[in-house]
Amino acid sequence: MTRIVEQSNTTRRPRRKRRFLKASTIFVIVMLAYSVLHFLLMWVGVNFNSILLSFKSYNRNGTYSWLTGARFFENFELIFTNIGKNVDNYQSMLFSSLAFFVVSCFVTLPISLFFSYFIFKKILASGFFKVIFFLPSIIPLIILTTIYSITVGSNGPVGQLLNAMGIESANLFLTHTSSSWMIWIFCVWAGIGYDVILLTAGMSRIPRDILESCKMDGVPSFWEFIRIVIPLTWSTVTTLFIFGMMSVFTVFLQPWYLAPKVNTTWTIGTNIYFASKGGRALNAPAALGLFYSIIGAPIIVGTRALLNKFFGEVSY
Amino acid sequence: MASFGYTFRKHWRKKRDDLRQAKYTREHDVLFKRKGATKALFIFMFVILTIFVISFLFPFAWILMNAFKPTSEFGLNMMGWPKDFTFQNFVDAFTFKDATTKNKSILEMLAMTVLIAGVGTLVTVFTSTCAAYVVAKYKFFGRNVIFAVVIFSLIVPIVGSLPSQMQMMKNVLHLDGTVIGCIFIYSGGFGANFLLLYSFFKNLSWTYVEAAKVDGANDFVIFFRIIIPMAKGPIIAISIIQLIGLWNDYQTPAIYLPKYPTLAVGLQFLFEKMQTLSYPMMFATIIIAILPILILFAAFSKTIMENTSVGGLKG
Repeated sequence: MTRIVEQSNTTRRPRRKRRFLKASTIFVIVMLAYSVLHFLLMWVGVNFNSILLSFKSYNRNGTYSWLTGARFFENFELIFTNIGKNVDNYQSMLFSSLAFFVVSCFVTLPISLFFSYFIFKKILASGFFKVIFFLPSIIPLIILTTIYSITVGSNGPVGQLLNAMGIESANLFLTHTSSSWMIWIFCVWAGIGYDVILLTAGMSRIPRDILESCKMDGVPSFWEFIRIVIPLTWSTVTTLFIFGMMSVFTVFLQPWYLAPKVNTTWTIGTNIYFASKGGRALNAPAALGLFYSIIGAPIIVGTRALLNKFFGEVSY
Repeated sequence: MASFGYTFRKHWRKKRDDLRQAKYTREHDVLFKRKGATKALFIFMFVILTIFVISFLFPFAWILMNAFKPTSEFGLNMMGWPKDFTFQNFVDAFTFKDATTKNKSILEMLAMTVLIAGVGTLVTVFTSTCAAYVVAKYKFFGRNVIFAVVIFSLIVPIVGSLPSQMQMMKNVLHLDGTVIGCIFIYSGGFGANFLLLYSFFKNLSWTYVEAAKVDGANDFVIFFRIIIPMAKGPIIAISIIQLIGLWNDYQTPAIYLPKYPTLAVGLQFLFEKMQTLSYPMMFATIIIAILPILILFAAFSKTIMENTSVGGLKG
């Protein structure tokens, strides 16, 4: 009897192994299932659908149909036509978007680097400065832009000061040139804080020994900043530079909040947002997005690789 | 109450000690001792930074001051202290609603924000924690692929996937115009949170888990009873940062929940209307809107800043 049981046990064991998953495998599947499904749907699915959409045309009854034959690239041809003929301010949209690259990478970032160095070197009230610099990152953008436009506008204290100096503050957000300047100044004013926080954190990782040897060798602050601090925080600088490049595509609310009446200041992001908001004819904004992704992605990834080659990777 | 008083005193004692230590470091640490031209440069930069900080604080101070003035006084006395001090603007700001604000008052917007940002934060932090733990600590087929794809999706910029996402939400998922739809968009487990938690779990000692396994605990018990309490610090920090991010998010609620505006969306409607009615009431609205975020920031400023820094460095 015992033998039989033993025999039946020995024959059953391999079957059970094959039939049931290991407990840890079930655990892994359960823990990852939602995130993987969400990613497949909302990243892979959405981007794949975006590609499909850009090769479709919108019908009046609200449906989409495939573009075929000579019309296959119609949505993309339309982008070139719009840029060439400046339909819907496509040229100014390009210029406004690219301007954010210059503002973020060549104005905000250098100023932030400079400020960060002094905060890192424990200038008087450096802790207080850090806290205040962080504030714009936690306040809703609509509040920041409203406060900025009211303060600079004709009713605000800065506006009144400008009026006294002979500058019409009431018109600052009404013309293309002045609106653009006001938006760029806002982006620098509100954007420095976040960069400073990241850069000071990067600088705080620099080993004390290196700074002490600089001090003993009598290295002036300027050269310490250029030759020691920047190379040792280069990974953070690169990250912020890439963020700045991505702002060409990501900035979309600032121009609309600050200068709603001047649509020539709107960016690629603003145009895609408004073109999509109605929920109709989504093929055109999808094609516009895909077009700029194809151009932007290799440039940004290439720049990242290039910047990483400037200074060797240092582990400390 | 006594416990709150104790915590408050403890917090301030710690703050005072930190300040004293910072002062001592600045004055005695050889690294930060300065003289001559360097000292002059630092004084100059202190002035520049102070001006910059004033440019941040002054508009808020001006708005706070004017929020307590009657509308009639604001036009005549924009820069002075309120002569006729009133809280009426705050009362009006709390109750104001009309067609332009979708008939929603700031309190209703606040409630919607708490719901969406709160639940969104809970769900996304939970899914990120689950995914990060498993990818960091378990060896399984496809683990490296998942990690590589997540990094790729974070590095490569995709422009304008909004039209496609809208179509998906409306025609495929049928979640357009629902609170669940908004939360669903936020709920993904693979993002910056995943990377932060992944690096935490990667460095986490496996000893406790091994001990628990010897005692017969299964993977779920280990995760909920041992891992989550051990990861409490980073989870709280990420939750706060995520909460602030979702609290301020404009795009998702504006697109998918137009009938029930959150604070970030509704404030725009409120401001558009209030600019034509009463500036002081608009200033009171601003104060009401930023107060919860400022309180949260004041309570967790160190945690928020440290973890934002870590997040940035990982990028």
